[in-house]
Amino acid sequence: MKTFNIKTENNLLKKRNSIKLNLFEYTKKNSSFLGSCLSCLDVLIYIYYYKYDLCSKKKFRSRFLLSKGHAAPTIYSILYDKKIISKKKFFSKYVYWHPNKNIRTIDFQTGALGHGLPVSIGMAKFYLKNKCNNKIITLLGDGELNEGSVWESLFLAINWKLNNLIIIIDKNKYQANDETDKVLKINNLNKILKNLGFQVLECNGHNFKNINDQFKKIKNSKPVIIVANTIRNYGIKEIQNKKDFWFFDKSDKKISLLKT
Amino acid sequence: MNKYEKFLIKEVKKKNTFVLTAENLLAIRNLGRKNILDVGICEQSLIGVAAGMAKNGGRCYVHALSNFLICRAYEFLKIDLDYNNCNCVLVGSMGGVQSTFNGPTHQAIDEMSILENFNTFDIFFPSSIDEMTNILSKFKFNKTIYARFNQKTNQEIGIKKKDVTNNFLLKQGKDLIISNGIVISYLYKLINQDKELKNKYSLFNFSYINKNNFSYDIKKFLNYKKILIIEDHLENGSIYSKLKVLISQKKHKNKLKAINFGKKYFSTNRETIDIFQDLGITKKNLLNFKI
Repeated sequence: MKTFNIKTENNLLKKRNSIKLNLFEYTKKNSSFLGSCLSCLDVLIYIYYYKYDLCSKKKFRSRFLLSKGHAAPTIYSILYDKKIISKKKFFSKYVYWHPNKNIRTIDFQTGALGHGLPVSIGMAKFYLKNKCNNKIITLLGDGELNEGSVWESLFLAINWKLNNLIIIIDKNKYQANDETDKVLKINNLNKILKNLGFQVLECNGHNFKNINDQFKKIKNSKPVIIVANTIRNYGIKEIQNKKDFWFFDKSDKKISLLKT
Repeated sequence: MNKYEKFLIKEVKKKNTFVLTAENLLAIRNLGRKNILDVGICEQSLIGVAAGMAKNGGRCYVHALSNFLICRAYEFLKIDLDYNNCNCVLVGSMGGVQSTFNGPTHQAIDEMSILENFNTFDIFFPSSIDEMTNILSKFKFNKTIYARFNQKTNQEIGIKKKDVTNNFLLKQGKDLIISNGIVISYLYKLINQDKELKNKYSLFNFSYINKNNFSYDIKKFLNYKKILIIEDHLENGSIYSKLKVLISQKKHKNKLKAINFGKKYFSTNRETIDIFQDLGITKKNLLNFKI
């Protein structure tokens, strides 16, 4: 069993810096939904570099689906760092704002919101039927919870007892250009999810130790939802936690904030 | 238990083969728990789940009422199955005139116009449950197939396998009727039992529709100068609309005429036979039909 210690945390922090630089370079070249990319960056670093082997070439490996597809440049930045995407491809039109299924380890073309969870349910059920111990992990945005298909799928996950499914909600409290609570508020989200039958965990989505502490609590007896409290545009003080800069245009004057 | 259900029971015993259902055909829900997955009426997730399974090599038979399978879940068909190249068998029930008493909200009379947008889909309106089972038993899951479920049996219709050549159910007449699905069963009985009609019309079962067989099948039709195409489908996307274009492109002078729903939902609260008669599919009309 892997141990998570100060060294692990430091390694992940180093990764955060290098992946963030990749993301900035990407944004300067192609623009991006940077607010969304940065809010889930740390959670993705944790699952890609510490918790799961998501890039193995094995047929049955743990799989990750980015349901909030517009954060794809974060995945591209990680895969570039892992040398799955070449430098040439990373700076080409091959990697657009949503996941490109032609890239190894990107298992499904998402982008339209509300698709990743149903597909993950199918994968998780298939793994259970095949007695495969690996996990299916999917990351949703909190705004994505507006989608009806998400709720359909939550019912299925509970009814089918998908204890190999890990749903992460990137709760950055914004959707598009406004606050999620102002657009379509969901009162008592955690309570609703618990009442549906999920194991619900909550973490600070920018604190690796805290993320790890919550992942350690996963019981494997029922499907789990980890609500990651995150910050839009985390790490860029001038624009973080603001409703603007969901999308960061490469021609915007504030592009200089993305220091390399 | 009908032939298709027996077929499904055999199929689900195979490794990684699943029956998914979002419909209320009790027989499917009663097939047994093994590999039968009931999603209630979550049609969108139904397609997503099937895609997730197919992505890993699962073989899924996916059931729902045609209208909700195709229309409500449209974006899921487009992205999860077609774009992601995840293949499965979609079985839509109560398509076409089979939804007679439900009214327009349940009518699926537009599947061809919708599904022709997808590259990896074939469309199948079987004339009988026997034809459906026969085709599906050979299916290799290398594309997606949408089948409009039709529970009529060959025995009920009176079709004998030995009488069918290259999808021609009747070959005696000089004019040709092209049709498919449940309409075929009605037409076959009508024509086969009447000497005059039998002398006038041949009957072609155009049940399997994909991009390749259209141009192949059209060669069989060019010997007939007069062709009548009868479908329980809107005109948009129909076989008629495609043949019209192909025949004019090939500069043939075949005369085509269509009987279909045009642009409208069909009138409701009627027995299927009433709907056929409303459309003009009667002995008198067919005999006097001028193309």
